[in-house]
Amino acid sequence: MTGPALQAVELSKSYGDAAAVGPLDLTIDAGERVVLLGHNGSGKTTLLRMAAGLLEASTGSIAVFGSPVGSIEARAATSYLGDQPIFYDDLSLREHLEYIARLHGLEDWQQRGDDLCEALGVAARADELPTTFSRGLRQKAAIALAFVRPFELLLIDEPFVGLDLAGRIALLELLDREHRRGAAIVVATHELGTVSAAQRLVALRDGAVAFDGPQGTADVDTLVMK
Amino acid sequence: MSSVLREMRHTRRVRRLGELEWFEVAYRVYLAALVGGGIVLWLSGQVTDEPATAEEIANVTTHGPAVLGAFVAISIALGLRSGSDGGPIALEGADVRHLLLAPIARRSVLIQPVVQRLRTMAFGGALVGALAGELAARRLPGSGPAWAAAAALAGAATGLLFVAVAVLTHVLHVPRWAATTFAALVLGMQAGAIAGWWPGPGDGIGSLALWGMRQEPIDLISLAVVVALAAAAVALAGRLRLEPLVRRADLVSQLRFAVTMQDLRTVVLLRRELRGERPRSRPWRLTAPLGRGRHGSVVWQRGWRGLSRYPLARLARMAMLSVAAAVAAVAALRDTTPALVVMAMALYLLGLDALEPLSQEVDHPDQADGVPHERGWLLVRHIAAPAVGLVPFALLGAAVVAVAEPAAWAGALALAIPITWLGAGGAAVSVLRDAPDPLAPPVASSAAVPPEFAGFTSTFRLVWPIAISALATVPVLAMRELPTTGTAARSVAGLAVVLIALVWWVRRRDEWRTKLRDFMDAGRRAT
Repeated sequence: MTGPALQAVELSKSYGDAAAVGPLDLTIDAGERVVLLGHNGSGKTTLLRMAAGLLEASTGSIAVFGSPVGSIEARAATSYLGDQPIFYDDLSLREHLEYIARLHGLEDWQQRGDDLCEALGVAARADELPTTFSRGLRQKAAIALAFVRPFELLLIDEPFVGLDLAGRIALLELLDREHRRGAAIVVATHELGTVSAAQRLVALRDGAVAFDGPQGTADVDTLVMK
Repeated sequence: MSSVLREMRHTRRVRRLGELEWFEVAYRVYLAALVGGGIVLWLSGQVTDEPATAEEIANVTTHGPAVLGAFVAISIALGLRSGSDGGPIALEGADVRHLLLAPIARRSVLIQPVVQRLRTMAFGGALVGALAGELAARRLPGSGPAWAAAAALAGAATGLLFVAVAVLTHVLHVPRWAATTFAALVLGMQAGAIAGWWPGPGDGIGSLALWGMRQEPIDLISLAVVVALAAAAVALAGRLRLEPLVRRADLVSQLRFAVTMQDLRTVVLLRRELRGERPRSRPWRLTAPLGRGRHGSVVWQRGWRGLSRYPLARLARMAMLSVAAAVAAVAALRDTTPALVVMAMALYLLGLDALEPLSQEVDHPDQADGVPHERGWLLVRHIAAPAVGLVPFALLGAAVVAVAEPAAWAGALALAIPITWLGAGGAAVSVLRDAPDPLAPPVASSAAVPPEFAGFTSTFRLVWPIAISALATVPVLAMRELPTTGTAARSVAGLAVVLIALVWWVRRRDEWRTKLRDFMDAGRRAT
């Protein structure tokens, strides 16, 4: 894989006469840990969904490790954890883990899946249907699905919503582990507690980059509250 | 990796079959057979066994391809619209999130739903075609099997065409305005073909349906084109775009559920979502025709603000519906009485679009319950702004009638507004009927009703608002029989009486229902 983990050039998205994002330029290097901040409606979710390939850009381009978003190479490199967990109605959590891991070419998935379930505290429910889980458990199941497959870029949208303290700690540990392994991580959040672990902060305001710099060089509260 | 996909699909299919409620399936088959059989018997009763005359056969031979081609043109137009709205397929949300974001060829995921859709539509078209062919054979020359086979082939081609055109429109990213323009062009050309002005795009397949009687080898070219388009749709399935698939994934399953539950309001809202039809962020510059500040005019102002955010697409659709109603009225004036059904439906749909402020209030019952007024007081005031908003559309309809039937201009002008209001009145009944009922008993009274009777009552609930809209078409019949000023005046008076009764029903509905329930409870206690 060549090039930055994520590169957006003149990227914009609009719905009819309402602009949601940009145009903006953003480059995230391999192995970087970035927190995406911004108030409600600032464009964080739209930006992440475009980076995952779920939304088409109105103008500009976006690439993952040099491959256009949506290409097989980009999909192999990107793991996306959306703000709303989505599951099949008729598959258990373990079956989901198997399916997704094998779709990503990981045949030896069992141990990895079991470890994730253990870490997130859902091991006892792994053979149940995640569609029947509570909001918090669904979020934990979705986190397991995002981490069970190999990736080099992780895009996570509001991952702490609905999580209990144990779940938050487990998620932060998983993020630390993947970061140490060398994956680039982009987390969109309002949880300011997670900012301290980030190397870089990117704040969006009305779809544009309002701040982009190393952690510790800006007043985070101001960035979020503005 | 496609082996993983196949394996998991197989597992899920086996599991779904295992969880199937066979009694439920058998009951559905029974209902379908009952309804389908009834329709077939009714249609059979409509077609006599008397052989067609030579003149009638010549008429069918000359005009049949264009008239039958109208179904093909409609199929193309619907395909264009569906494709530009992100159709024609809808995947599970989980398939979009997990499969289409996985590093596997998208074609391997998408080809199955596309082929499935092609197969379903072709089968449905063939079934309808075969039935129509069988009925045609009773009067026209040619054997029953030949007619059934030819018409089934034409029906299947029509069904295939819808899916193929929709997939290609989607893949080619045709914008909605272009798809609508092209659809209008196709329909216009076919209308011209029916009038005998030029050949239409559906003539070839229409002519194929007549192969039970006579064979034109040139029709095979149309069939080949349809097959080529279907093959192209399958070949390009992998290029279906993710964003519309994401949007449709949840909406279509909700839409199907809403249709099953006959929840018309949800169907309307979900269809708007599917089309991406949202209120304008910048309202049209409209000034409410009446002043503000008086008690109750707040509701008027709220309604007017809602109307001023109507998107252009909805206004265009409302204009088309009023034109369609007017054209149907003209057809009825020219002795095509069944056109009144089209007129009633167009007015009903126009009303559903116009009554958005009322519908919004009904959608938010907590808000209405928090207002220190009776619900009827609030709801009846919500009718005012849409009624005024309908006036331009009523006048548009009157203009269409006046152009087509110059002698009827005065009657059209006098009757257009009350007819449109009463036509929309059916929609108001529909909207209020679906409203959450604060007076409803905790257990549904229909719980113990046998299925056949429940089917009858739910059909009645669905049909009676449309029947009210149909009342609005009565003056057209009256004007056809006796086109005088007196008839017009009496019609206006009649419409006014029904409208006042309708408004009174909206105002007093809760009160009357409470009284009726008290009366019924008293009766039950007495027995």
